Amino acid sequence: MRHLITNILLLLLFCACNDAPIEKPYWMNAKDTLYVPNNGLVFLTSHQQWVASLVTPMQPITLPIKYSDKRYFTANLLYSTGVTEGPAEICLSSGKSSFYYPVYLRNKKITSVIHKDYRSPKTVNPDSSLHHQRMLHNFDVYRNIVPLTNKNTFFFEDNIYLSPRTAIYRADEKLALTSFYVQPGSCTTITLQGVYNKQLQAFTVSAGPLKDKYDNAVADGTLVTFTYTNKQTTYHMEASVLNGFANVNIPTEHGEQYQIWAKINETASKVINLIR
Amino acid sequence: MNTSIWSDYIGKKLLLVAMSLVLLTHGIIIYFTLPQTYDAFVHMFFADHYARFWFEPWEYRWYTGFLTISYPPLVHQLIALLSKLMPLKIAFCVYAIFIFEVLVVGIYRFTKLFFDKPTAGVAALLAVGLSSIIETLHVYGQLPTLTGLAFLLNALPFLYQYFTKGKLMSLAMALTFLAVVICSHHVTAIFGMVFFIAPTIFMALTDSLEVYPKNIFRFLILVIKQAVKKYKLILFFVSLMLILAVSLIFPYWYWSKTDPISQVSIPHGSRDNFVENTSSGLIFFIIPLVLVFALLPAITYAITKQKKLIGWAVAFFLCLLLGSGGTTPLPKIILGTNAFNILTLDRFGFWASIIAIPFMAKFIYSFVAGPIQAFWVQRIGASNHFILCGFTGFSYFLFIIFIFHLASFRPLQPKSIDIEPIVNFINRDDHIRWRYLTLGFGDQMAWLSANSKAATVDGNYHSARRLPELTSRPIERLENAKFSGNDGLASLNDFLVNAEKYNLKYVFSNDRYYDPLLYYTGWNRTIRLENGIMVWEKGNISTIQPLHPKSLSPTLKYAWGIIPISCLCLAILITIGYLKWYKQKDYFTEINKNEKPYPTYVIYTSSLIPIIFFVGFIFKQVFELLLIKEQKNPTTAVLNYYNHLDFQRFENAFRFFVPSPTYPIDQYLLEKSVNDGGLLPSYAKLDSISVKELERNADSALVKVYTRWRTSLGHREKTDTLKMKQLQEKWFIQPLPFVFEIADEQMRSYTYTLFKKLGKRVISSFPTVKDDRVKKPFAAYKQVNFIQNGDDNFITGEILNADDIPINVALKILVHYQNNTSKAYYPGTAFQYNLSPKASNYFQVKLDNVCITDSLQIKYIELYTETDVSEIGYIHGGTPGYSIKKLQNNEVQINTKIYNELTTDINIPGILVAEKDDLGNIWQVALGLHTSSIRSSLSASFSTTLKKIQPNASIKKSYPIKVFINGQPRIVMPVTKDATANANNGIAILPHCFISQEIYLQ
Repeated sequence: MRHLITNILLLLLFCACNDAPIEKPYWMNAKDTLYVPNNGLVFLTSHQQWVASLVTPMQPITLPIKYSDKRYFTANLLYSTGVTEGPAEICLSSGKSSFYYPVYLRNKKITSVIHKDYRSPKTVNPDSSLHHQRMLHNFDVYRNIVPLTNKNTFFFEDNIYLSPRTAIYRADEKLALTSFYVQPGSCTTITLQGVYNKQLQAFTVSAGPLKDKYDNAVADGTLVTFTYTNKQTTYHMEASVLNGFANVNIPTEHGEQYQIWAKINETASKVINLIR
Repeated sequence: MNTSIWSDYIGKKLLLVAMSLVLLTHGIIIYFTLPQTYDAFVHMFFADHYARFWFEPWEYRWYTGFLTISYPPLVHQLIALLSKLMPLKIAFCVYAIFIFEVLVVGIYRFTKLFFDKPTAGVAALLAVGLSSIIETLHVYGQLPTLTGLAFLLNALPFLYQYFTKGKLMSLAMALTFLAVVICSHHVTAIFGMVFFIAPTIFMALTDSLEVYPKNIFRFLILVIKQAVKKYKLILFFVSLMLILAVSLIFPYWYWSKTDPISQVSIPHGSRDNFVENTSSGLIFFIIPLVLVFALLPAITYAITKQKKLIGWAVAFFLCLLLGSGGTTPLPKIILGTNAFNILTLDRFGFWASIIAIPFMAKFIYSFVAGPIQAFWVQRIGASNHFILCGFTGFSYFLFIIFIFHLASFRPLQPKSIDIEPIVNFINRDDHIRWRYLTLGFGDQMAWLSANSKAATVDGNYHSARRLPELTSRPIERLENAKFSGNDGLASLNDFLVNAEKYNLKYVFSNDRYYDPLLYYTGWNRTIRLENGIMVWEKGNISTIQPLHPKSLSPTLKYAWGIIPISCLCLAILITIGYLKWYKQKDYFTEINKNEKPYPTYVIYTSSLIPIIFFVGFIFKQVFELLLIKEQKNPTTAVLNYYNHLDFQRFENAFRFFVPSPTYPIDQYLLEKSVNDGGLLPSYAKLDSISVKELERNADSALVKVYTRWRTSLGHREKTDTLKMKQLQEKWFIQPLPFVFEIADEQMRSYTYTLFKKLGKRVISSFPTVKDDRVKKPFAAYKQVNFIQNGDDNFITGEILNADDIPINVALKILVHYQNNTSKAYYPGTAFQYNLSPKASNYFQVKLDNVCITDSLQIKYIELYTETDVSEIGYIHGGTPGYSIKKLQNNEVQINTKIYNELTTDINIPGILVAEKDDLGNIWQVALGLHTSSIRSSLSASFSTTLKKIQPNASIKKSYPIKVFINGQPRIVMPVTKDATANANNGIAILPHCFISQEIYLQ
């Protein structure tokens, strides 16, 4: 029992042990705005074994520490060429103690600028609109927004009237991601021709050239329905447009004759007769 | 037998041999039988749950979430603990073998209640090879049942001791074991009270009697008096037992009270009439109880001979009766309709076999090395008796081997599926954010769930189902819907159509039977995985929204996680303590040594029935495999031919044709190959068949065959006429002259326009950026009508793909009622879900009937269409030509001839039919399908009958209809006249065919 009491006392004593509190280091060359890269942040302290980091909204940056003597150390920001500008904190840690120094980060110089040209909508269909909203802005490699050249503003917005010519356009010629698209519109007229093909023993029927109101070829894959009838039976044949034409072969049986017309949505061709 | 130390130890030696045999036989084979079992994967899924979330009973992966407190947790928790040390499957096997060993010990100890130790040793050996236990483990995979039983049997001797000697230590031992039973399997605990504990107490009371009156009534009165004398012991035990039963698994009782099971009963073979349904009888009654039936005279004699065993006799025969399912009305009367329809009755047969073990062991021991051996040696000599023993044992072992491989002879599950490719698919590209469904996986769906964090709408634990689409129909699982008949397919159809409601986006199909249903309800094939599983996808489905688990007190959650496992730990600790300090050498009050010898008729029957039974069974199997006359008459020959055809045993089916050098199997298979691919040959199961002999001569016959086929799109019927010929006492089918259609062309070309959506997604931790988004394609409503036809309400209309790219369309109709409620409806098969650029299609969506809509009063209706770019599914195939013939009663016959101009077979030719009026309004839309495929460059004709509804129906204009495309309000375009429809009696059609070749990615 005596041993037990002794052991409990020793355990309580052990639990009561604690490190002496660490005083907050004094920042010798303190500044509200910190320019990057920086030669060094000098701190006065009696304690050693510090870990320094720059806590930015994007990510923490570890700052190498160099101890000058027992009273000073320097946290280096020399190797960072640039950062995302804005409010940040320098964090000094030793064991469980951490101290924070709020600063405002700025880069010493603006490096290469990236231009952004957003287009909306990215796909334009001349059936509805050929207008395009454009938004411009620039930023540097560290994601800092920089003023637009010649415009003394960070953002520029305008509306562009696009060419009705169907194509894939690029806002920035080097970047596929900036592409925007002008699609062909709906077919306006359907021209239909049909001839008997002896080799195939079938009527070869062609619808085209299929164009929209701006003379663009109708989109590949557009469904064209060919309806043909011999009075008793009505047939429904489908074909896709390729390069502005839709072609079908209608097999013939025992000299049958058909009346045929083609349709894309509500646009219909004239009715023609297929005779061998 | 000498009562020397040697005989005292022979029981334990036999027990050790039995336990070693368990390791050598079951230990080796279980890993291979496990994938074929019914329930093993379900228990592994539960174990996986506890391995992931020990204190959280909410399991989100099945049925849109359920509580695992709906099943006692101990077995699953123990496997979960083991799975931390080894793979889950191995953990399950290790646990199974461990529990089998406990069961063998339990049977040994249970038998010692009745007989001496050598007999108990024989009983332990018998347990290793008892068909009911083997079936429970290797066919059903019911580990909780075995765990419950193992601990229950171990508890009984202590309970017996408590009631005979009144020792509290015995009560403590009994209760700790019973606590484990309660935490393992509640059903065993509940029924164990009736069938095991009550007879034990009865036997203990009778053993305390000083005199045994001959009159049964006087005997019973004495037992009651004895019970009254020991009422404190009984009350104490019963009270503690009740407290344990309620408190240990209190969350389970809480769940069953607050969320009671209210679902349509699922049919189970164990409730069948075994005379009418012999296969169910074989699986659920004959196989597990084969040895019981073979030794029934001996068991009956032994269990009824002594009055103290009356309780056991009642329990045994009652279990046997209840295990007979629906063969007689008695089980339903005894259990009540509710319990009868919920319980699986094979468990009663299983318990009957367990009660019978000591009595079977007694007879076998006596037959091999006891008085019966002497009886036979005296009559037929030692050699002949030896041969009799050998033959009986050998034939029984053959029978046991048959049960071990039962799943191979009669496949209970689909072939093993490698789930890795599925897991990889789920894990990539955020697929985990939607629910999935498996089809044709069998119980392996639970194994997939256990290995994935993704959720499925299906599940494999019926008691936890709460979705109305599942509980309102007698369907076991969605994944095997085809085995549940019309109800199963209707339920599956509900989920496939209402996919948005459940965020169901992916279907993993292992059975092409479902392909037509999937295709015609708007699902697209995406990819065939390396394991052959086809992934189907539905476009425009929302991701799973965060679900709030059902609230449960944290105390209950902790109780559920701590108490069961604590019970087991306590049982282990108290057992160690008991073995160290309390175990007595012989803890029976009395062993009945004045056993009467079996009467001669029992010896004869019980010695000879087994060999007759087992040899007979083997001969029956051999006969069915080799000697059955499949062609003894025209009807039998036709039935067997269609049976082989249905199970795709084409070589066997070919043997039914008249042997001829001009009709070899190559020719048969060639002819078959060009006819295959249609709805009936490839996507149907034979539902029923009827054969009628039209003519019968000496060696020829003409038969008419009516077949009814079950497809995923409903039933189809067919009538064939076959000529039969008799040769050498066998009836053969004369092959029909094959008219082979040959296309004019030698080569076929067709220009397809295929699309590919090029991803622009950058490698980034951000989910997406504006630049990589593809715009929502344009669509438009060409017309929308509210139609009322008799009691039916539906919305019809036409949707146009106004864009330059193919689109996938998701249509939802939201009906708002006056009471501020709303209900969503989705199109079924009367719709084309993928459209080419500038293509339009008709739709019909069924609403609730007039009674409901009139009572709730519709306020307004909204139509929502979501579109997405589609790379696939927009080729609907073929050129349909059609003519209309007017029939009586407003019916029209649509004679369709589809020409296949594509370069692939059209597997299911179909048309989407719209009934239009003169102005172009659509009144109804229907899907018409042909049952045979069309090869490239050929045509096929078929007729569809449609009843026109215009004379009786009306277009309701009184309800405001708002329409939206991709969330934006739109205006319905003006209706235009359809000259083609007007020229064809108001009927317009569109091709709507299914093409199975994946290259076209329909």
